[in-house]
Amino acid sequence: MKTIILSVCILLFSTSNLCAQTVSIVTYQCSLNTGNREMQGANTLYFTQSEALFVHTDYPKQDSYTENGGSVSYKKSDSEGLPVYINLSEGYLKWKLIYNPRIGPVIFTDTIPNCKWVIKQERKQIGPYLCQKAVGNFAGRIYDVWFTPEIPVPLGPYKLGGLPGLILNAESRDGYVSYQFKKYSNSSESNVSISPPTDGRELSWEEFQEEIIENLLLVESMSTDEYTITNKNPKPNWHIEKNRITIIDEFNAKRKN
Amino acid sequence: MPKGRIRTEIELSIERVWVVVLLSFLPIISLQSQETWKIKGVIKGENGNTLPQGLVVAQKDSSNNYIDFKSSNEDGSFALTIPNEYSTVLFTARYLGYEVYKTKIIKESNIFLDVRMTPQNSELMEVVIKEDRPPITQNSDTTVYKTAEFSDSSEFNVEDILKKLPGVEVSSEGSIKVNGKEIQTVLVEGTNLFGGKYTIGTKNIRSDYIDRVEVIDKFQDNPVLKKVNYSDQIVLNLLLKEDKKNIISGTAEVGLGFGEVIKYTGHINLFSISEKNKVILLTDNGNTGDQYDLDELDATYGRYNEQDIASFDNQRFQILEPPTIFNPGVPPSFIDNSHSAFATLRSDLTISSRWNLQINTLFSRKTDHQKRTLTEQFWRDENNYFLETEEDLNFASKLLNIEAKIKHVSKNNKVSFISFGKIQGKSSSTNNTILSYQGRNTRTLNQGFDIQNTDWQASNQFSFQFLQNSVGQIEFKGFQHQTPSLLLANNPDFVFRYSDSLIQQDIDFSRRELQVNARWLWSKGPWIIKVQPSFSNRKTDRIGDLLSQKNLEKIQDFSEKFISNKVQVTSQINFNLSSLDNFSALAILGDEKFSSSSNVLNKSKYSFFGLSFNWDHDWSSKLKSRLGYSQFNNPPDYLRFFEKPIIVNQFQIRRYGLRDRPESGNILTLNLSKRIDATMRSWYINSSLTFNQSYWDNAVQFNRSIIEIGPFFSGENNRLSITANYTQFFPKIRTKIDIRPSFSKIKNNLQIEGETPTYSFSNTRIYLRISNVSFRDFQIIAEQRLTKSAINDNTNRQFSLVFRGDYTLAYRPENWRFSITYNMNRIRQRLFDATNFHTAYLKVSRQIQIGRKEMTVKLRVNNLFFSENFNRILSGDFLISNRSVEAVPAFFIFKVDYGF
Repeated sequence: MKTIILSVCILLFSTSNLCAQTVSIVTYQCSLNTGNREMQGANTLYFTQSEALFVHTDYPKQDSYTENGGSVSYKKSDSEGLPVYINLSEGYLKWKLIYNPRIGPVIFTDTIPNCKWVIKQERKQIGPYLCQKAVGNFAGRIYDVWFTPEIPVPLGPYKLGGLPGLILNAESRDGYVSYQFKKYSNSSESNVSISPPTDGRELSWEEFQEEIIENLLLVESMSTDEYTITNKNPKPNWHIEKNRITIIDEFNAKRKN
Repeated sequence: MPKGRIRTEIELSIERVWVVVLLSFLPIISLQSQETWKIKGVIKGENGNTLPQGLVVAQKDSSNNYIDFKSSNEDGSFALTIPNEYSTVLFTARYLGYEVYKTKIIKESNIFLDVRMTPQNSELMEVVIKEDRPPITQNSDTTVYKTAEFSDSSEFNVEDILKKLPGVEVSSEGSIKVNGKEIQTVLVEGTNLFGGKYTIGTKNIRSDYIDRVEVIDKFQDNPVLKKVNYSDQIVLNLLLKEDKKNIISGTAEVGLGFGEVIKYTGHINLFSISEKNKVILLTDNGNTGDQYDLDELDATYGRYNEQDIASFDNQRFQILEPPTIFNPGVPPSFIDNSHSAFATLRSDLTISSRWNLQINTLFSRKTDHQKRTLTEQFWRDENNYFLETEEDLNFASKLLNIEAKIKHVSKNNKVSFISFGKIQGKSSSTNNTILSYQGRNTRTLNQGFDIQNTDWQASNQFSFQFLQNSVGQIEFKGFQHQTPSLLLANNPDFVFRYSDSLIQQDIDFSRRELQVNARWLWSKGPWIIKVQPSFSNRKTDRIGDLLSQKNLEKIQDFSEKFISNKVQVTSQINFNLSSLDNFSALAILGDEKFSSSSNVLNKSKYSFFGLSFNWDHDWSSKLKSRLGYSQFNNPPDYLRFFEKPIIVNQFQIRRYGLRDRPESGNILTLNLSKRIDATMRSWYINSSLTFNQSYWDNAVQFNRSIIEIGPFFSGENNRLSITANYTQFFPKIRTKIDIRPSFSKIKNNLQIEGETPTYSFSNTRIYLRISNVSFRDFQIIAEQRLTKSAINDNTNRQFSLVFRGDYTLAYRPENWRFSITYNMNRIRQRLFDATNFHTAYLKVSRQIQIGRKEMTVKLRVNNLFFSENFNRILSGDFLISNRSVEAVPAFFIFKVDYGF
């Protein structure tokens, strides 16, 4: 009898352990006014209590080369959907960026952003979740977000987080970035794994800057008498993080001096 | 005492003061650092395992006033800091998969919590948020509508689905406005196949081909110009379903039926759409009265405006106009027995990566016949006259249009060349017999009209990028229009109608225009500059004879020439100071010289100029303002009313009487618009408030204020919008109030929709639609329209009331659809002008699956009530007349509709 009780206890223990390993999956609808259309559409956040992976689900999985009239555009795909991996236990974040096809996907390691939030009294219901409003500044934009303490993780879409509950909806006040909660589900299947991005080169921001400048010089050297080629910083609003890449202007300014 | 010594003492005393001040703060600082207490602890699972990254929160109470929150460390430990002012807090610990742990904690010196979490009995349920707003997405300058979300399977063509998209208005002729702004063209998969005549596509392409509709603002097709951000075009882009691309696909509907004559219809569309080449063939033929034909084209884009010809002031010549089909206001299939054939082939071919060729052809042919009678009774000189006229009218028209456009863009996207050529021939003829009875006398008139239009047009545009940020453009445009028209009237008995018994009228009208435009566009950072000098030369010739056929003597003749040379320079500067501020300035300077063989012009030369400044500021994403100042003198037609420019077709002749140019002067305008978005319970409220204040300083000095408000409420099944517009002029010329509420409500299968635009209270339109699926698959739809319009001033009194009802009973079991509609019309006007008629039609359709394809078999029966005539009665003080049009007798037609 004791053996049976022990077995049941072990089974229960292992089940509860399994429960703890269950991965929660949240789908957001991302709408961007930044002109960078690849990043918008469905986005997915996979998380457990200690780590999370945010994936741009609709990001192209295959490279595309299009010619339209006189304009040619080449889009570099990403097999992993430009993920943002967050390790809450160790307090770091790994994220991927494709600046241009030649440099290819680059993986950066950062600390988890520390957004200063002001929690407001306003509440609203999103699906079955009672949410509370918070206002904070992230990467040059002010966000109005709705988080729910009912899902107790300091996470949210993209790199937004740091609130006592999951951020379900987020909208930047300048109207450029919006995430809307669409679906919550969980899976204990082994095919859902939360792991840092691997398909790309790991670089520090300084190494990345050097590569951009190297690329800039290479491209400029291809100029002919007929036409000159120069690189410019993307428009300030092009990325979710406003004014993220300002390396080229800085370099050009230094060079002129 | 040396001065230096004194200074040192003062410095010391200041230092002492600082030390005292700092010291006096120290106890406060130290006190403050002591004014907190801590809650420390560890979170553990049921079996004692520590739980890292658990969420611990201290709140004032359960009202979500957060005092502190943290995630637990790797060993499950945590420490929350609580200010001393809180002696009691609510402590909450949360962890995924575990029940919430809550406890009240009273301030103590050493609190250490051993939090034991209990596993949740059930996992968090799957949650899916339903879309509570229509699926519209906005990306930069593009709004995308997913058409499946707006469709209720009652749509036939693209126009039907466009009518259902929020913000999109489709007029009865087919022209489209998006958010009040007229669209220029409709693209198919990003390619402009229809030019300006986009109803060819929207009325002929079937709705089930369309996956998404994009509204693209600031559309720019020319890659060279993309660098200078120069475009204010708004276009619609139709995106086809994936399974309709890269294959030859299409739809076909053929039908055969009987009535007084054999009825037939044939509608075939073929598509071959790939990224490189796009070819579309659209055809519509038949005699059921609902075909796309020349009249549809003319309704939207207008005939070549013959009225211009008559606008010369010294015109004494009586121009005889051919009669046209008379419609008392019923669907065309009830009065129209016409045979029409329409076919168009639109193609866009990529010759190489740099060269692109477009060839479009269009052919349309229509013959029509209408029988009608006119009975007139009138009193004159105390005599009573009675006249009965029978009219037997035959019409025939043909159109052939061929257009070609070749486009080249250089490899580096710095040079482009576009050449466009068009030739169009159109002929129309009428052959009428008019019999008239007055008393016992029968009079006969035979008329034959023959009008032939020939247009050709050629334009070349050369664009090139030079320097760093400049684009230059040179355009040459040539246009010629010729309209010879001939009327032969055999008129032995109608001497009261024409001055001679046999008449031949011969008018030749021709116009040639040459336009040369040069354009320089420059854009750098926040600046956009455009400078455009242009020159145009226009020659118009008009020669007319009116001959008596008996002896070919000239009764009247005329010959007129009109030549205009215009030189104009337009300069435009746009400065985007930041994403919030935009300055724009416009200057126009021009000179126009006329010479004319007639004395219509009281000035043969005039100069004009215009100057306009605008400052737009975004106070927030919801509040925008515009401050504008304009000054102008003799502005050309397209500059009248600066805030609402009227663009006049460049090939139209306007009356150059110059008396209608009072707009010279100054305008100062302030415009504020505020957008309000809010969610209230299940309602989504979207409202805009616009305030516009203008001050004119010209011949008539006055102020104008406009307040517009447009709240839009939408809930799960309800929609209510009110558009209100208040205009006040000072001095009090006119006060105008427009209110346009529209609503829709769905409850228990009952759907009510309504719209009551009210213009100045005297003009009202009420539209009410009630539909109910009462039981099983039966549906009752009642649509009621009431239109009242009235003008009542000292000189003009008019009144009309139109009452129209459509009552439908539909039954929709699986794969079947039955509907019977009864239509009732009553039109009342002042002077007892009245029309009453009743019509009805029955429709049955059945869907059949053939393999993977679907085929629909349809039966339509028209005019169940056998209305023989549609009458229009007009009664005045000295006149009663009744115009009666022969109705198309009842007919039925079987149709088979197949998509492949």
